[in-house]
Amino acid sequence: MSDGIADLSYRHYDGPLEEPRHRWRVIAFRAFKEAIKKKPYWVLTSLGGWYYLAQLAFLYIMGQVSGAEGAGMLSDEIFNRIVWNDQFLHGVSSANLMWMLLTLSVGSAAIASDNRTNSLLIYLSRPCTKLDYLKGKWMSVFMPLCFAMIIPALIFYAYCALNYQSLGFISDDPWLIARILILFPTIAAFHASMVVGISSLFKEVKHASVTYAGLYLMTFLAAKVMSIIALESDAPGGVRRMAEIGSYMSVDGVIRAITKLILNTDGSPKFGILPSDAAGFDTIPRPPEFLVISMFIGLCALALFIAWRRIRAVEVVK
Amino acid sequence: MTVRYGKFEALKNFSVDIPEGAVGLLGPNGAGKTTLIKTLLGFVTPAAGSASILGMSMVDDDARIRQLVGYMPEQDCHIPRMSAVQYVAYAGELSGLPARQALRRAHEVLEYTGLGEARYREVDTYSTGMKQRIKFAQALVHGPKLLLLDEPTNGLDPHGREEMLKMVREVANEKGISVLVCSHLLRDIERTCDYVVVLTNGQLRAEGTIRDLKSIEGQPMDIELREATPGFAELISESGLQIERHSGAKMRVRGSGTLDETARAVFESAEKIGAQVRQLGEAERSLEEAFLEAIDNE
Repeated sequence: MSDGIADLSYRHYDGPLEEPRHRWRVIAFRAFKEAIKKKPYWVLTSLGGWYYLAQLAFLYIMGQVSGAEGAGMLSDEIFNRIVWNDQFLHGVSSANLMWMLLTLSVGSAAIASDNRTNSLLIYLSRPCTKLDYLKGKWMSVFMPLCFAMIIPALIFYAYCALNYQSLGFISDDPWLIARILILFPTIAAFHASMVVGISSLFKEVKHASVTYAGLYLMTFLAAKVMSIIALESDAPGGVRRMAEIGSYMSVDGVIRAITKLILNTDGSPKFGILPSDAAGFDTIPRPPEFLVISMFIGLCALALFIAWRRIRAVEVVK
Repeated sequence: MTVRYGKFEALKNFSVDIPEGAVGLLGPNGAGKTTLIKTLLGFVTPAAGSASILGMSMVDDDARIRQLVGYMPEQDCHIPRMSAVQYVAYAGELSGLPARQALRRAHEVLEYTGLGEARYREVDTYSTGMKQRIKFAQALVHGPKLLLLDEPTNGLDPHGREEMLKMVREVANEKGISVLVCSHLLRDIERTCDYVVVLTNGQLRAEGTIRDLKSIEGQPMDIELREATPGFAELISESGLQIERHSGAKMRVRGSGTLDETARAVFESAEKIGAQVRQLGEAERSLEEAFLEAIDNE
């Protein structure tokens, strides 16, 4: 103990305490503040918005040349081909990998690091229930992810709403803003649930990261093979339809499917450069609604159930 | 209360009334001490029975109870990538301290626990002794009414152990704070507690004040003479006192009357034979003897 003239005797605290409810807020907001202080968060957020930036530049250039001889006609044709809702689908498809990395950055340590350092004893010995803890950890991943996903999309929306109203940006789908406000929290919720569930299984953050990244990439590759079969083979209709559905059987695929469902689209080529019926990864018709919703809810529920089962202050060996 | 881990009964029909103040929970390893604390905190659900803590039901007011309790676990535990002051303030906020108060209290308790100069270091870099202190600090930060300390001196060097015991004692003397110290180290309990609960194999073996546990039935007295005096023992026996132990200048005697009557008989015998009584007092067992006796009653 340090010597000195300071009064080092114990002084008790008899002041007010907040109601012992909603302790999850403390966990969530603290983690959110920590997450947005990190440089990788902003780097990945910026990289995740690359499609919107590229599309804005593309639209600007097209706008500059429209009306001119030759090139103007082409740009008018491109403007006519652009499906505004699909720009957000392309935004999502283009950012998926970055968002997965972002999820690992903000979420893989969520419960794994607490498992390693026995922090659950600290959390659960306070007026913080198991549900508070899970909610807090989930929100601590969801909030920074949602923020990172929705901000670039809203900037893009605002720019287009101000500049391309005459080209049908608002009139094509007046509910687009509502769809955006539902879409990005939904994707963030999916990533948050998955990573929290996986994080709860491990005591080492790197193991949780590798598992989620592995799951993402392996299922992505399998889905890619399916998409190649769906788009390029001469397979019979039934096989092709199965391959189409199979191309959504991945973490990335579930996100693309839910995005198409919420945006009410089957997709179109990026930037509107190719004809709207041109084949591409984003143009595979979405699976049936019940399947998309079942996959989404099922995976989230499974991940959260795993986390719920794994959150224990003491390891009880029966 | 009965607590089971599968078929194994960690606490068997355990019932005890623990008073306010500094109380020691004594027992050999595996006696059920930690299980009792973890059950009180709601980490383990009892198979039967319940408990009331600070006058509140463990079932109905669990959140409120945990707000008024400070827990120092036995094993290392901290929240990663946090400095000590962030960690302790965060622990305070989790307990319901407003953010600003939590930060102020964190500085205060870190200063008190001797971590003032290391408060901005990450807890991951702390030594074992420092981790023990910060566990104590996080348990204290929100001003609990009851402190549950599980093996607070684990892994501490003799100097650190003395300081930890001093802090526990000081906090226990604070008005309105009760402390339940769980340990298998009798000396630690003796130094810090007034009341002891002895547990073995998940059952209550003994409880009472340390003074009561150490006292011996029949109020015998210990005598120490300046030097061994031949004939003194015979005189003592003639005066009606029974000699229980005799070794050189020391003996333990037991009378049938009060302590005053026994003392008078001792002094009279000493005067007759010219012996010099250096020490005379009520005989008591060591806590270790009392503990072993409680365990042997199994």
